[in-house]
Amino acid sequence: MTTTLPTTTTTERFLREFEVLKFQLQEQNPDWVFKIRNEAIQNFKQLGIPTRKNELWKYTSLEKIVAQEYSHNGVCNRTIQTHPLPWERDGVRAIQYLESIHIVTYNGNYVASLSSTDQLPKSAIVCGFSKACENHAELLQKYFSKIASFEKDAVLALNTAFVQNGLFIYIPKNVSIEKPIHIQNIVDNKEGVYYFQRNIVVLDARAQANIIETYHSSSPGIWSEVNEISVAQEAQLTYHKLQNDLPLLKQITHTTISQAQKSFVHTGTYTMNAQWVRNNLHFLLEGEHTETHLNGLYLTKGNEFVDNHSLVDHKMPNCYSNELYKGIMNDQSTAVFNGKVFVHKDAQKTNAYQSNKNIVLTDEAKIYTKPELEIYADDVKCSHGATTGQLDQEALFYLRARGISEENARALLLKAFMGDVLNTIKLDALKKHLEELINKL
Amino acid sequence: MLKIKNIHASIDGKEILKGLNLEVKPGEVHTIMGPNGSGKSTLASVLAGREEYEITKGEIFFKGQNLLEMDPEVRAREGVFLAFQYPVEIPGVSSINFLKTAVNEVRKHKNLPALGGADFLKLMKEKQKMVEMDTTLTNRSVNEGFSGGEKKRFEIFQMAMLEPTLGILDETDSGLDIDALKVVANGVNLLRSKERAFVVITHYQRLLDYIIPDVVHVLYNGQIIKTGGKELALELEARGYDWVKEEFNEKVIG
Repeated sequence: MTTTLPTTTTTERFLREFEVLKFQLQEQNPDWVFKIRNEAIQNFKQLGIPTRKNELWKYTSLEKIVAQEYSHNGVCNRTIQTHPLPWERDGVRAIQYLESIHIVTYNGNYVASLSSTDQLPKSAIVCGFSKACENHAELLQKYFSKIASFEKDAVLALNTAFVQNGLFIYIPKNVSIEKPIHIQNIVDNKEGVYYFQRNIVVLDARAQANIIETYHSSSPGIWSEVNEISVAQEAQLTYHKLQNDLPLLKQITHTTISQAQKSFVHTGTYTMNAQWVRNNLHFLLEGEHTETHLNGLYLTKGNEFVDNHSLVDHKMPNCYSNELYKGIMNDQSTAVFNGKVFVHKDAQKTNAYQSNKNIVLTDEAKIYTKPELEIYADDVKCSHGATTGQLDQEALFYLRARGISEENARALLLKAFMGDVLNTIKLDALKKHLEELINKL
Repeated sequence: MLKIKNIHASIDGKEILKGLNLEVKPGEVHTIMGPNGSGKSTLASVLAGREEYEITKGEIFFKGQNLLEMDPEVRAREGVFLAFQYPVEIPGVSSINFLKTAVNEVRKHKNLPALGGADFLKLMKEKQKMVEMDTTLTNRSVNEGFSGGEKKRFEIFQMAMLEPTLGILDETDSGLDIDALKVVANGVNLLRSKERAFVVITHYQRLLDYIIPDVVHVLYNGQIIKTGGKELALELEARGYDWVKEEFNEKVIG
């Protein structure tokens, strides 16, 4: 047969892309990496790009987004471009007053010349993913594609097959990094393209770190970021993700965090000024007595779209998890929240709490919220709930009746609504930075 | 100062105020009494500018200006203060920040410079002492977790801070024990002056033992049907409202 269908599905296009790039990919990394890539693409072939029939993508038409971008770009551009750097283009890119260990990635590549990792102890590792494949293969093999399984996840499979670069961060046993590590991810290219970034972060036993990731791009395209994070026993991690500088780019992030016994993880996901975002955040609680906090804030306007999916997988007994996500939707924007807490049969004495609260400011703005609880143990304390409403009209009137303008009264109430998420941020500079960004919205 | 002329107000299509007239002069304390559902709280809401109420007829002038054309915040800045019957809890809005924002917006309206942190705290301390507001406000959200008495005292304290020309007390006495009632009344008495007027809406004569009114009105079915001196309140307490209603009905029919 020589006839071809008039339209090729996006899934087919990715598969064809892989065939084209195959030899290049094979050369790029050691064999064990290519083996994983190959498995991933085979898996992707089975799964295909998820459609809205898939419950996890019900409100997010990924297929449409991907098809649109493909029509712009034709092929998946894999050129690595490091110059010129748009470094000092505007002030948005820095977090004022934050004293940090600075790490820069540019189009997915670690840029040593712009990073200040000299303050890290010698035993710690920070390097690009490609470099880690060569220099730290033994270590990396324990984590790459081991924490986040692509078996049932097409987006993860796609990222694994095509991964270009990313970061490898390893904090050894008993090492405590006092200064926050700020990873500034910049994507800049005139042509809209796909970026596949993979970050692997490992905290060994009793290690401690604070990580802040920020994302910056004025380009169109799709940015797929996958983070695999391993937090060993008694280690402590705070991990903040700030998506506030993505006016055109569409971002799909997936973060899987695996926690060993007595570990502590606090995550914060803050999304504003972002055109189209989907975040997956998975926690695998693999040891007893772990503590997990998931906080999120999404502020949408215009026709922005933000979708947060989370999963807390309570596999072991005596673990604690607490999730609080809050959103304010303005104009014709849309947000999605789907939080799932899964308590396995053996995970007795689980304490799991989940709350999602939303304020919808206009008639056209939308929120789809779905808190889910699935419990197979019988001795647990779990709660979940979601609320959606407008600004409290009684409170608004009360403030105005004291001479406060409607505009200021609304601002006071919205700030108060966001307060319990913002107040969980212990890094004052980050909190202040977020408050300033919110004030500018 | 306040002139209400033949005001008709309705909510959800139902008329509550049916041609109410009232004139309050500077320095006076007027009490409005009346049975449940007579329109007392509606009057307070209409004066403060609640948007749910529709004014179908009539006029209200405050210091010669058309009050009905002003937004609630402008009314407040011009000097109208409503002490709420049910002060709303506003979690996350710090009481001090709220007060400071309010005080400075009112000052701005009067072309006065904004108060800085130290001056504001000084003023707050002074007024807190004046109205015996002993609740610690630091690190507390507006009305959140306040007891019934604390909420009412906080209202009077806000009034002391904002120094209005017209104070409207909407059943501020309801739910207060006698000690709290005395504190609230004392606060109001300290704020009385020859420039400032009050409209005290109440169900019970009890409050009037402590805030002595100049004029007492009976509101019934959306209209003021009787006006008298402070002794009228005592008579209402002793005899109820029926005789006033009958008197009014006879007058209307007659």
